[in-house]
Amino acid sequence: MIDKFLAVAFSIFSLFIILASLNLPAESRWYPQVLAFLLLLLAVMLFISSLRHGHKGMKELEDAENDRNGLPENLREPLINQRMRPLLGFILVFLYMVLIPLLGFLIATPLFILAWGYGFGYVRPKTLVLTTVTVTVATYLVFSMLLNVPLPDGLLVAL
Amino acid sequence: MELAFAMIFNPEIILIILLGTALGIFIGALPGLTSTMGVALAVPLTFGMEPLPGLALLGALFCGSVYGSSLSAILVNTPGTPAGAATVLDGFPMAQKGRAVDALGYALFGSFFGGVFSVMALWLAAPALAKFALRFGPPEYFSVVLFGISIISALSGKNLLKGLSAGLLGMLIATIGFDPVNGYPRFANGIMDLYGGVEIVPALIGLFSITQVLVMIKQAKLPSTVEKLLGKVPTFTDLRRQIGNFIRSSIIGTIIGILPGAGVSIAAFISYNEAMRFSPNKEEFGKGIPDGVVATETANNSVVGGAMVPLLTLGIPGDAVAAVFLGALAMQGLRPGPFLFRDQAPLMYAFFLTLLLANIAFLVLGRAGIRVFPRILTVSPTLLASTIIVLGTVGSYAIRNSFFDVWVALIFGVIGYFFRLGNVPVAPVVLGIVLGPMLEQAVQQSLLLSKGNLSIFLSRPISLAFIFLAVITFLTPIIHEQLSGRRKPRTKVIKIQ
Repeated sequence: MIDKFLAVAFSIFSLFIILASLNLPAESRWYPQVLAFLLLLLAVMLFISSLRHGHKGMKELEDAENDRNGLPENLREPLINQRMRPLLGFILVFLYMVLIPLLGFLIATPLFILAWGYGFGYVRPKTLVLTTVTVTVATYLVFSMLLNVPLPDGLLVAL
Repeated sequence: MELAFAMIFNPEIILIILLGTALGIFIGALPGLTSTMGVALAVPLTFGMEPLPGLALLGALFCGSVYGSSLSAILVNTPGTPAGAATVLDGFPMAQKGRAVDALGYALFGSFFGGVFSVMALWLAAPALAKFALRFGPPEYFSVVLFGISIISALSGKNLLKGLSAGLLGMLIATIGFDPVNGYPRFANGIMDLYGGVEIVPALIGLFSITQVLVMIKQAKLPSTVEKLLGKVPTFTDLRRQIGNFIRSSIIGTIIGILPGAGVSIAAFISYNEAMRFSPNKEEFGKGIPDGVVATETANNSVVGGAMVPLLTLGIPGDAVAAVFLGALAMQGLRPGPFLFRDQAPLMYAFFLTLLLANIAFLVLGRAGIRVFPRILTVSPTLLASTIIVLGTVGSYAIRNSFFDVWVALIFGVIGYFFRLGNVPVAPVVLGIVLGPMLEQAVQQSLLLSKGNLSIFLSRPISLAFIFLAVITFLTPIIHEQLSGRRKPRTKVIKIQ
């Protein structure tokens, strides 16, 4: 399944490049076009081979990950099942990136780390708060003070 | 030379090397955090620095992380990075037999020996190779870059089709923005931020850090057990018995490091095999023999210096970490390749010295903390994941003070995640992004030189030689795969990226 998805994604991308390159001058056009045709060819081959192998790839990866020995971290009953965890992670990261310019780095970052800890069921409130404060302050100091990167102030500007 | 020494011995550089090494050990020790990820996250920090402290930080981090991977390999049977995959074979059995500290000690001294050996080799080989490469014209450059791209085949493992697609995707992504010859904007579709092309550092942070976080949180497992640390640090007499092993493994590691595409874990496995072949106690291997730990840890650290040779002399990164270094050098306005040695000789020698110091730094830190560092393994993956996201986000932003790059990082993170699901290797994307524009430029310039005649690439001996090498590099893994596939059923290899 995932192989088919990747093959289709590669094809769409190469077709986009081929179409978009049509209005470029000849000397800027040929190089991306050659690459895109090659990628399209490989994507078709990938699609054909995925028809033969079925959805083995995904299964193998999950097996490999389950093979790795380890104890579950000291977490409470998870909010969501394991399969959905990467999606929750993506949503939290997405919100964090949206909120930094709006709220400012110093507000968005602690919110993000706390929400992350809560969302993934981290149980030790003291460690969580300590991590939140340390990471926020240390990152701010290093980038804003040491490296002179103007991190967004967001709401703090109004104060 | 004196200038290089003068550049090194100032407190700022020493402090940076210590910090970088400690950070590297931390990152290397934690399963899931790789050297590439650590170096990619640190690149934005070097942006505001002078070239030397920046390179020192990244070099120290790289050295420290390769050593650090031995900690988790020995103590929890899981390599911290792929570099430690072979160390598990004898390191963990040693720990189970109550010789954990012995194993950590052998790993430490082996890493030190290998690291120092390879920096010396780099010192000797690089300037000469660079001098030779100074004579290269555009056709030679084309062939060298083609050789660099052919490495993708070796990096793809058994997923050649997917690896090649990933490489082409990287090369296509690199065509976005002004084209390198005519300066005509391609595929930017009016998005101003894309005219200069996709920024490499946010792409790397996305592919290696954000992807890793998404994979990590699915697991949220702590490494199984950190046993009570028993055993003693090997003595000088113990180490003297390993001297042949040290030297042999260093040579293997350095040579494999210089060969693009092979990488740390392969060097460690080959060196392990050789140590077994030369040993009178063959049956002891795999049951917890120090020779096994020495062979793998010496070899994987000696790859570090070796891997710098093609990067600094030809501008060809042999693996993902080297590609990140290339991105960092480019950000400093330095173009890796033969000119670097001609124009920036003191800087290059000073960089070698910092690598040497980084090896001394992890020896000292590792020896002092041999019973303390294992605690790194109790850090919560959940909290670590959110920290990586914060650093990755701020780091991507910091390159140009642009939120556009933050989104670039997220997009590449998602691409990397789907690649991981589908077993598509990520390293070829990076090689494609880095080498693609170099390839195009070299082709265009060569064809300008030859008035469009393609035979220019074959009529010049050095160019022909590199094209030949490229074909061999490209085909070897395929042929090998075909042969081994016929002989025995495929064995499952768990690959940790």
